[in-house]
Amino acid sequence: MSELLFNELPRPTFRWLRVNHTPASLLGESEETKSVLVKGNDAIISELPTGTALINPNYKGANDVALTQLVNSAEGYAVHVPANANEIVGIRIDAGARIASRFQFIVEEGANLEVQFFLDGGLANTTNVQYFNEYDVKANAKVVVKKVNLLDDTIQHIEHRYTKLEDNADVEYINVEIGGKENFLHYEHDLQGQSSKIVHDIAYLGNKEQKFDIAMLMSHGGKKSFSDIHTLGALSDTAKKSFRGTLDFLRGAVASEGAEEDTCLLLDPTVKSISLPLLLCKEDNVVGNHAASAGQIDQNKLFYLMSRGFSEVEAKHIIVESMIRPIIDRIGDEVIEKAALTAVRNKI
Amino acid sequence: MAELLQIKDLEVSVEDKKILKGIDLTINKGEVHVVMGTNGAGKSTLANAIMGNPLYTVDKGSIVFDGNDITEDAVNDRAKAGIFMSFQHPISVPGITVENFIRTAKSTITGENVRALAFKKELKEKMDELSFDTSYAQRYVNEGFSGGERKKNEILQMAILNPKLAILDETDSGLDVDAVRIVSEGVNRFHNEDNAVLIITHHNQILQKLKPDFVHVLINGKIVKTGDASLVREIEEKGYDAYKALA
Amino acid sequence: MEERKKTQVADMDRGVYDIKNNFEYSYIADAGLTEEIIREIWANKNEPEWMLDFRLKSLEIYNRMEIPNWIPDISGLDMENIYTYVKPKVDMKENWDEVPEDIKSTFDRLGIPEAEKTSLAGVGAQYDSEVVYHSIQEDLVKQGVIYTDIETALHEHEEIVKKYWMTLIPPTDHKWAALHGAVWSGGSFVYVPAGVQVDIPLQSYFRLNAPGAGQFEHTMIIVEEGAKVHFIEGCSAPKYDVSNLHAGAVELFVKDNATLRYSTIENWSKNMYNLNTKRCVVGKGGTIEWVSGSFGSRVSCLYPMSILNGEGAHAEFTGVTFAGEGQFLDTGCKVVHNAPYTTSNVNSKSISKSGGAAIYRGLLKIGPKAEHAKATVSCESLMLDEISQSDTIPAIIVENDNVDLGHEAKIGRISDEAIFYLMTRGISEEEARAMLVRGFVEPISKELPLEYAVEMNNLINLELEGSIG
Repeated sequence: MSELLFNELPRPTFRWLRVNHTPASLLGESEETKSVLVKGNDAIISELPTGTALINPNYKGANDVALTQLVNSAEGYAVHVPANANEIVGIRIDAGARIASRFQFIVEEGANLEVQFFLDGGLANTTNVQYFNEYDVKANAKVVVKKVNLLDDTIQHIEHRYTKLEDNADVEYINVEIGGKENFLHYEHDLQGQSSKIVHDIAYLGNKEQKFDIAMLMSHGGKKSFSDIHTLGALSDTAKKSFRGTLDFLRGAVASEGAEEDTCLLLDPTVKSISLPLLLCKEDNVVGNHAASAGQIDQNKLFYLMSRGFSEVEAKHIIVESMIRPIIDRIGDEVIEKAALTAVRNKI
Repeated sequence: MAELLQIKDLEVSVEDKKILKGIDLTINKGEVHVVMGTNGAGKSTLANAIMGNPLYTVDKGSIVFDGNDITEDAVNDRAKAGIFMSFQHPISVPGITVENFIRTAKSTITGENVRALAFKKELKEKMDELSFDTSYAQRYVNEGFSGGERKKNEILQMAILNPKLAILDETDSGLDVDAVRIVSEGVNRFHNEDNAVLIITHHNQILQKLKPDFVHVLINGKIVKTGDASLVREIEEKGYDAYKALA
Repeated sequence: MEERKKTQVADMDRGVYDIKNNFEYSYIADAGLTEEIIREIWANKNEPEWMLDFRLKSLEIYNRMEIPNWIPDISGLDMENIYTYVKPKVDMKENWDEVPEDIKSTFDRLGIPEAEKTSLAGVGAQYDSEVVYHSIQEDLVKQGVIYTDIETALHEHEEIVKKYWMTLIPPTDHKWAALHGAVWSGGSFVYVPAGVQVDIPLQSYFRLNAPGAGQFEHTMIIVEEGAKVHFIEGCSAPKYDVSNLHAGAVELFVKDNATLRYSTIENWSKNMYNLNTKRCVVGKGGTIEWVSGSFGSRVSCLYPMSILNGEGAHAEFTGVTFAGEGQFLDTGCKVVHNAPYTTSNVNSKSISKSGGAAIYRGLLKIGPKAEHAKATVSCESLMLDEISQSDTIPAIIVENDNVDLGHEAKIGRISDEAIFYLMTRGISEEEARAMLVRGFVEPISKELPLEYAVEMNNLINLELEGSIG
């Protein structure tokens, strides 16, 4: 397949920088397999037929062509949580083959949903894992999604995720991204509802030739809406990270608040970190902040640990782990937490 | 004695939560009043309501200052009328120097163009009296100031703007012994027969230097007891718990 | 506090900037852009042969280049009707008294000769396409400092000009750079020999008087090793009904351990398309300091770029942008770290009101060789009402691990808390807002030379006056 442009910046900038999007080819034709396991209350889970309409028909995903193809070819799962219900759904993707799937969640008023999303496995040859998550979070509903990516470093991993938040909807997303050869993660969160709230934290750890290409758009439409993006991670070898984060305050999003913070620890001279934290604002009565930092391990921390008898390498391991650990600790599933921690330790 | 401030049956709420539940308080010229009470009793609310902070809603009652009902007046009009509040947490104002700020305020309050040279001289005198490094005159208001320096800056403004009523909202909190002494002396220099001071505090450090004529105990939005300076000692001995029953 | 008062700001009375003179000229090239026009400009200016080649090559590049997809809407700009070369009815003078009365009175109103008497070491004044006046203090000439118009430099110091000519901003860089290469005229040339410290600023003032004209001045400054200079640039134009174009190029060469401060107050009228390019390359231990105020124009695209090629080179950028009704000001800065121990600080502030759009667009790139680089960026945007727009579009690219980089941006309005604090001191709400706006830009105005700081404060006061009046 020809080259596609992934994770396009909502407002392009200087062309010669080549950061407005990331070109890549889709690796292999996608096909659905039985390697997707969905566990939970059977009464709320059903099949999502090929071609099912999108919650937001204007959502373009990491790439328009790739998403359209996925929607028209892949089946998936629909999860419908009734009003005021409490549900937990577990999804496991074992990348033993090429995978394309869709997950559509409709969470009715006042309901609570927790999703545990776990990816691992892989093949010797490069293959493609692509899926589309949609969340329609109704008034006063609460959603927590904990995603852990421990895919082999042969996998091209593409996630499209769209969230619609109604009044007082409350969403918490946690990503632990450790695996994958080339990760394109595209998130668009639509804060339409008054006092809707979303927090999205992403921890990543890249080594060798890994790529983490993350795009996130927080669209503030509702009054008093709140968003907080935090990406933090470490890169070694020739790993590369691109973060395109956009806080978009639309006119009328009175008294809204948004923040984004991108923190990257650089462990080798050959890494590359790109950060594009956009703030777009058409409403004056808002608070928007962003911060980005990149740098080496804090020498004071290193000194402190080494004064306690750790070697430099050990001390660095401790610092990287201590950075990512608080996010891993929030996964809440002991087995997955342990697997994630082992993966972190194996990498650094 | 001339009546300066008269508060009648004042009820005030913040974000729909009732904080002051019927306050009566009269302050005459020449007097020093102290309002004491536990955290959250409504002391700062009282100060902010007198000053006219729009975040505090007056639900009932009236505030009369110097013979005029100011309950509905805008905050800057109250300042012009002669009310001054020393903030508990003075904010920083980047880009505006201390000198420029106070001079603009003084010109506005007096309605006269304050002459630069005379003002510089006055500012230096008052800063010296407060042991306030005069180089701070050229720094931005409170930007990078320590807690003590911010409070000194408040007292400096009071000294220069020379209000009829000075409200000191927790001016002593967070200050070391020397700073409390300097600030107290500043207030003593300011105080005379024609003005009044309202001190809001929850401990008595500042009261060792400033002798109050009246002490009010504020508990749960009401003044539960009023007495003379000896009440300070009584509170010190018995604690606020003894007054909670009166609320 | 949701219901709150807005600062009502009347559109600015631009006062003296808008007084236009009768449109007189000694030579005007036809509107639009053709090879014939370029040849005419070249012949009229009596330039060396290589410049004609350069101009024609640039035109060819211009014709095949596309307009960048990310810039603001410039469809109001009709290139077919822009006069690229308007020669005023005067030759360059070195004595102010000889400058024709109408042109002189323009600069008089703008306060230019007065500033020269009091605080400047040299002055240049450009009127439409040509520099009409240039002067420099005698002792600087003795030390070998050259400060003249670029045309004179092209004749008297051809080797230097040729060596550096559009090497930093090649015509292939973007469409307006190509246009500039084809039709440039006027501008200043400064050469400061090694070790010479010019303590008093040099200033050039650019005035575009002709309606529908373009101004394409070229500024070239070379600061040799260990030398130091401060250059000030001021721009203005009266408002006409037709759109004007400014596509200047500023090429700055700061050699090892040299220091250049480049200050600009840009107050073009609001029909101006300001597509200007400024670039500086800094050698070992050298410093470039940009101080930039953008107030005028309808559309601006301006991102002064610092290229830190020498070890320990330093760049400082301090900028303020004020976008009012109908303005779309896309400004910012670019810093590229190419060598070890390079440092940069960027401090940008913007204000938008009455539907104006202020965009900060920036680049911070730390290349593979720039180990131990340190960089900080701070962007603050103030919105005075809910019909305006304020965007921050930074790009941060890091290509080695041994860096210390921090970037911060904030967007918002004047805090109610700050207004309350000022009001408790007797200041009215309107005056409190105005004081806070002035305070917001103070860190920048204090970096400007006095008369420019006064000018900037006047501009802001004029902008805000409607609310205080």
